[in-house]
Amino acid sequence: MIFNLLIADPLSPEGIGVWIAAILTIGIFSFLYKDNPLFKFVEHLYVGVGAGYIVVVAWHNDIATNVIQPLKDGLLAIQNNDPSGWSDVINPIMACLIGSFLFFPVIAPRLRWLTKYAFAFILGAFSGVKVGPVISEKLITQVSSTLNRICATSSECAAQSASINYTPESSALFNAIFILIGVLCGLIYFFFSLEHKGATRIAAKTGILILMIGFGASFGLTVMGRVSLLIDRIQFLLVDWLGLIG
Amino acid sequence: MNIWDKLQSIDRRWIFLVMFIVIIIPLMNPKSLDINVSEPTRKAFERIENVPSGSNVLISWDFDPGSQAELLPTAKAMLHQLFEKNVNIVVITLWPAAPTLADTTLNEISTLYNKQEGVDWVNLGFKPGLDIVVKSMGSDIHEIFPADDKGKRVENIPLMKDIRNYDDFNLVIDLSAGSSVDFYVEQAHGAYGADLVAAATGVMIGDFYPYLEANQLQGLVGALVGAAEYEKLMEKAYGLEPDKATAGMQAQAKAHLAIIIFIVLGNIGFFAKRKKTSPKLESLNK
Repeated sequence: MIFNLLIADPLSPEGIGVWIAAILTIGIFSFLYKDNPLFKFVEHLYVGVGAGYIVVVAWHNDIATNVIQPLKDGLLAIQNNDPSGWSDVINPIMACLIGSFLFFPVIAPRLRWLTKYAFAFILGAFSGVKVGPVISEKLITQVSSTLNRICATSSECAAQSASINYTPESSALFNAIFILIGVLCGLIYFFFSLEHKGATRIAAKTGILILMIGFGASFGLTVMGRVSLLIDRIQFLLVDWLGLIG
Repeated sequence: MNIWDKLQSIDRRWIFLVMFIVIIIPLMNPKSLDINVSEPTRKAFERIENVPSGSNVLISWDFDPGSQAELLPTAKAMLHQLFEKNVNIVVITLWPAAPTLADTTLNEISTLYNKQEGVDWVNLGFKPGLDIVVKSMGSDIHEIFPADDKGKRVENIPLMKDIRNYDDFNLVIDLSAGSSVDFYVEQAHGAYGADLVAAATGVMIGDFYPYLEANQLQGLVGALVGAAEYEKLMEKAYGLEPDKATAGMQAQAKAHLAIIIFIVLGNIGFFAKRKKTSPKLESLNK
């Protein structure tokens, strides 16, 4: 073990940041023992700093660049008798106007009905942007990918499409069939128009088994991610703060 | 109270203490760990390796300090690779707390390669709107990002003069702690045919494997383990010293082992207790 204690200097410009971060990290970890005032303080500080930071970033990166600057440019263009400046003025004003409707239930309850128009605009715009690509990329492409796996195991079928590579290995055939059965059984589990008995029951049971394996893998990956975050914080305390390693 | 009963009522703080010790010991005693590079990570590395020198790459930096443990090592390794290959980098983010982290990392690594901001790389910063931003970049990136992160107008940035949309990028890389990979697959790849490589956190990675299978993604680097694999590939190709991900992998392996042991013991205790109590339950049912 290397015990080369090089604690960050709390009086140096970098060191003071490291010390603050270390104390806040320990404050958060202290909750693992039990709830305490230090944890409460750090928790509130985290939420407050996070919210404040996001407001400043949103102001600089969005309001300043997409509203104020175009308005200035537009007004300047109008002053110079350039009619194209009107679009720079009207677009940000319209966007802000529709956006402001969202605050009406709080600031002007009598006008809360206007909120519906803001939501209608947002939902309409997002639906327009999302629906087509989701059907294309998440449904059609995924279904064809599942079927292409089967096709790739046959030389005749693979030869008909340039995007499918012929894979004669038996493992490829097994994987293709396994995935196809998994997809079909998973879908049958959610098919409630037919009573789950006989062959349908077996397929639905297989489907739930496959779904459980999927959820298990997903949970395992989540645990892995959380452990990584813990390792990162411990690395910070040991390396950057205490200078014990590295 | 026998041992199985005790196992069922163990104070969770003992588990936290064990986890803490299990992670600290490998970090204090680093030993070389044989890391096998998985196919998705290799694909990502090779796709970036195939980006021609002088071309442009768009990096969507969609993670903040809360997820830097898993994604920052991958981001750093990729930046080293791109700067080594003299590729121009344009960074944007869909996360409000990401621009500063991106800027710090870009400054740190670009200095090592004498790369100049505005000429070799640029950070266009954050823009709210998620899908809308990703879609809008397909028509005109100058419209959606009129200025960079420091407020400089894009028309005054030399690197941005010839970049208008996805056609001007050889590759799009999404470093994602959320579901932004979905947006890029749907909009950038689906609508505009952009080539995509992604790196994602452990929580999200499971959702993105189907994209790799369907060739919607050209490569996928998953969580800390993927970052460690990428560091290994970079060490092999460019002699870059492995960073935090490789150092953390031993601790990760030991922590997983501890969790598995806890799960096995917990289940043994649960079934042993159930076996002991089941006759009583049966009599109650009668």
